Amino acid sequence: MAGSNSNTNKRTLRPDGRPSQGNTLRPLACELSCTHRADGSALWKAGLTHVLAAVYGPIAPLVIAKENPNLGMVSVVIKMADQGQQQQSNNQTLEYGQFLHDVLTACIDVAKFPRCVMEVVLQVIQSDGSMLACLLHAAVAALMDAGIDLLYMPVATTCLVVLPSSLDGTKKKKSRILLDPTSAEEFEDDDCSSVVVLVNEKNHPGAILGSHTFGGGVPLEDLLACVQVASKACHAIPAFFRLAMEQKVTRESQTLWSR
Amino acid sequence: MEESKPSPFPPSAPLSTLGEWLDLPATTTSLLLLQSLDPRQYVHDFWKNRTRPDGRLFSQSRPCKVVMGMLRPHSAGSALVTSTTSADSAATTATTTTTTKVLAATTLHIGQPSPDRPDRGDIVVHVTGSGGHNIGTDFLGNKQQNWDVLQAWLQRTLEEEDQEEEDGNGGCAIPSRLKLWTGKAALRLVVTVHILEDGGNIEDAALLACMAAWKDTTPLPQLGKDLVPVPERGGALFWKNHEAYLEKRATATITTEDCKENNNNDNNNDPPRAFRVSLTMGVWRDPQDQTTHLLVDPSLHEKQFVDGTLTMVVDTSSGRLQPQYTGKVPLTANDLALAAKLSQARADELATILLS
Repeated sequence: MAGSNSNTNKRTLRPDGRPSQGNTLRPLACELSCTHRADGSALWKAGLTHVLAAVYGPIAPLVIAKENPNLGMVSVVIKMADQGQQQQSNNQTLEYGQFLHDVLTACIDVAKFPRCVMEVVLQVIQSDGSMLACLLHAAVAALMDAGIDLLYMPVATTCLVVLPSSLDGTKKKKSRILLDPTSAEEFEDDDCSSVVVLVNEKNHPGAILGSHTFGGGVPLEDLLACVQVASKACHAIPAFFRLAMEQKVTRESQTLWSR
Repeated sequence: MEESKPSPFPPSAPLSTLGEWLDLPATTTSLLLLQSLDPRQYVHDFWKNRTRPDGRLFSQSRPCKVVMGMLRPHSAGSALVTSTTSADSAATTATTTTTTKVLAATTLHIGQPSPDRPDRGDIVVHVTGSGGHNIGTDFLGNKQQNWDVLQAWLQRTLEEEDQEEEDGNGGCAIPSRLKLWTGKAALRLVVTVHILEDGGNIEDAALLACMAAWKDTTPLPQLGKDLVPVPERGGALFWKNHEAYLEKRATATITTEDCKENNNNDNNNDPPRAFRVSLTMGVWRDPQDQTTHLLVDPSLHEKQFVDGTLTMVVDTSSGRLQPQYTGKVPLTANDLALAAKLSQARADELATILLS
């Protein structure tokens, strides 16, 4: 493990070809309204991680017991790529579902949809790291496509904190923070690294609205450094959302009804 | 012309009369009336005065009692954690006491390690409670306890590895301590958590119960001492003297609530274990001055009205943090630093119990 950690430190490029400074996101792609049955849908790609999201609602719940007379409810369903993977990561799916449910409930204007349920179905097509952030972005893109009012736009940033190994006899160095890690990077130095997912929004870049941590944990100074990194990275995603929406509107304007 | 009926609600009637109309007992005070009519305003009135309905300060946890060895000798380790509002503070306010009670028990099984982790054991967590599984939400939208999510969180927290310390004594790494024979045999630690009473902040109590039960799980069977390998049978292990091992485990006296252990085991060569402790805080933003406040150890009643929930897991050996936050209020770096400081103080406080 110490040897593999030193390999990470010596590399000039990351496994997917990005610079080793660790402050670049993977290439993003987003296609809106890709499924016609759902009220809103989006196919979100970040590198080799692909997630398809579909939003149904606001609709009346099938079970009357789920109706809230004052606020709308959000239901999140996550389906992994294959059945084998789903059995192994069932615990992970539960935690992701709970986290996304809480974040989406906070960002959707649920007071506008009393007695309704908004169901968000997320299908993981391909997984290559930073899964939680991709799930959130796909869900937000699908909610925008469905025209559901949002109080703010959540942006998730995944930071891999690689802690310095103290067993190689060298001086203690600073931790390294890699943005948007791939799955190879997440599992490479399993004992010496932690993954921190931070959710913030464009209007409050220096503050966080959600966080989720995997691994052994991070020191406080590294956590605050991740907050700074996330504040700088959070401007890119809303700009990309805007671009995707503009492309969708342009495409729809070139349909039969336009002329 | 119809005669106007007398209004059943005279304009200026004392609250005691209102209590009669609402068919409440005569001893009902005005605070209880406010609590039943507008619970949100009731709680917010306390918070605006920088106090809480049960009399605690914002940074004060409920008193916690840990009793280890409750189920000995029926399980390898066990612990009962009780958090309750103190009777004195409850008597001064018009609210009932809130108690959270969690019982955890551990069992050890001998098996084979996973091929991708040949030098580590396995941990399995089961959570049960009076609420059941996957209840969802009731008709008022109040979230019922979802034990599966708590189970998944406990499983991940107990399984997570930590970097070895410089002196090689090992970190928290419970799976690493369950190793018996690399690649051939390892222990499986089955942790059963039973929620007896849910008075709020079930996560902290459940994790503390698991950690206390793990501490109580002594001694671990050791290869060569308690177990004998049989080379011709591959990785098969046999007990040298199983009755003696069970007797050695049973001779430890039941610990008192301040955890003074009078253990007869000779496990002194085992390096000291590190533990993970969590602190859950409710986040509330004062609408008047827009300041953010952290409410440590929110009760079940308070949890409905907070603007967010922050859970910070602290490793007692390395001091590393695992923040988990969701809410409507953005947290700044200062808020995170304050939360980290509170969590570290809580970890130091519980370390006196867990490391004694």
